[in-house]
Amino acid sequence: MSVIPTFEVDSVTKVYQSRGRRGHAVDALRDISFTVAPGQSLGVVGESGSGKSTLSRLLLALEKPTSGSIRHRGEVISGRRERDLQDFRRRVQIVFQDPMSSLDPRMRVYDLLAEPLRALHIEVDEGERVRELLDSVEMPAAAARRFAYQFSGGQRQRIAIARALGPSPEVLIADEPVSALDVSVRAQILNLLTGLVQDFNLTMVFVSHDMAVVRHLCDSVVVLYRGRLVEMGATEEVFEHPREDYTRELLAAAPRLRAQRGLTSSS
Amino acid sequence: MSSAVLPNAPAAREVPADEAFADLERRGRWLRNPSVVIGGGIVALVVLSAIVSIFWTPYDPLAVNPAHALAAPSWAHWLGTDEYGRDEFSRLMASSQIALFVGALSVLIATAIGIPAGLLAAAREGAISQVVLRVTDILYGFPALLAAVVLAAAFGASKMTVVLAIGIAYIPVFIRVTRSNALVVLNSEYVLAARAYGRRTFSILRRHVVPNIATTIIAQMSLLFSLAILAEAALDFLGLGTVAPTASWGTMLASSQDYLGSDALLTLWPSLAIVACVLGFSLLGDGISELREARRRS
Repeated sequence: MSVIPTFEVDSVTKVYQSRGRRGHAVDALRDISFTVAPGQSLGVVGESGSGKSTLSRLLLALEKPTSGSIRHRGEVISGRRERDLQDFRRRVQIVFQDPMSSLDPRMRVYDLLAEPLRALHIEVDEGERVRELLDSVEMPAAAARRFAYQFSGGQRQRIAIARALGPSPEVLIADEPVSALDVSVRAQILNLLTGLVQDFNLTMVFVSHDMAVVRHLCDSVVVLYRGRLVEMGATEEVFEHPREDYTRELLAAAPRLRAQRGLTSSS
Repeated sequence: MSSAVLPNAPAAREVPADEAFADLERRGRWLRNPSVVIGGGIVALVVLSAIVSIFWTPYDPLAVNPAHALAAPSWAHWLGTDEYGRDEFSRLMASSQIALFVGALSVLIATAIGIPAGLLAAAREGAISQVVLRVTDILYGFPALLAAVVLAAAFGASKMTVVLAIGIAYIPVFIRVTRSNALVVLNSEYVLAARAYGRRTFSILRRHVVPNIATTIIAQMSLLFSLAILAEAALDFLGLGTVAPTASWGTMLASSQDYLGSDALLTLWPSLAIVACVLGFSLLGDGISELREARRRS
């Protein structure tokens, strides 16, 4: 293959050593390998506790794999010093699950959006860029003066997405970006994300437990089960002809899962 | 990529909450909280009397007038006079200077050391954190009274010995409060997000941790301020701090002891002043914490 992959995950294992007296180790991820090509939308699916969020932190170089390596555009990023990661940080951004906890409650939206620009020393007209970002997520410019808690969940997630777009990243990691939202606004946010991915030609890693959403958004998919990669391939292939029992179970469970979530979100 | 549009996506955008209304609500909350209003009122009164007493008191608080010793309250002497004929009201006013000075300076010393140490312990896990926490334990175990006695013996009793003794005694309190609150912020997703756009630990402390723990710290400062005033009065009473003839609530209490049987009012006035002042600062601290909790729940 002549194209340099956006991510090369090479037999990555992450073990969390628990602090207790027994000090037993928890395998969050075991021997994971896959690649993400530029422009690809990769879905990472699995139930909670399958290591999805650990994987997104590793891809962001916020944590170091216990063994194995992660490359971005051919360069190892795992375990690098922060000062060597500046370019990487500009190119790779994240949207978290819950915008209430991922936006600092003491900052106005303006500062929330300007912070990445300042931190990464991106030379732009700050005010102009903030307006632009708000516009790209279909929020009014007046929103800049308010705090995140003054908005609804869907609007907050728009702000979080705008923040991630600030440094003009090439890669967007979306860690369950709609799971914390009301069912009624999920579709809006997902449509926004797909639109942005197309407009800005983003590579996306979409972490989710929702098979239907992944099928909709992603062209390929990896399935995690208890920290192991059990299946990977083109989305249609995996969904039409799942080779692993677990994938079949996940697919079969999807409608039931959705019904349960509907109940919890209304309570 | 599969088709972009999901079915049933509502087109209407959510309506933003009315901005002016939200701002009004935020402003009003402070004045609707009784703890803040009453506590703040008392604190303002004490501060005002301390400031006024610098320039003016009804009588010179140190002026002795044996002819009017132990006078009962009257128009001339609102709260009466003490055993040397000094005006009680003037002495109470002058004392509030010392109370506020000792309270402010000791809390300042405690925060100046305690907050940075607490942030350090939160931000750096491992050896540094352990060292800070062990030092905290040692300071906790060292009684403030003993420190005051040692300092008074070494440097002579003065309000500075009281300031140092109380200030050092409160350092571990601020280390713990700062550390535990900072840890909550440092483990939040917005800090994770900040790391993902390249913020380093120091910037994160400055931009995210400090603003988010500030209210808690201020509430704690107010509470400890009240305790410092109480401790100051106690140390003065024991003769380990401000010494006669300078007026302070503690020294006034000490000298009034001999007249408890005949002129109990001399004991009452400084006691009331101490109680009011302690109540004021702790109410204010409580009120600030309450508002913070309310904000968190919203």
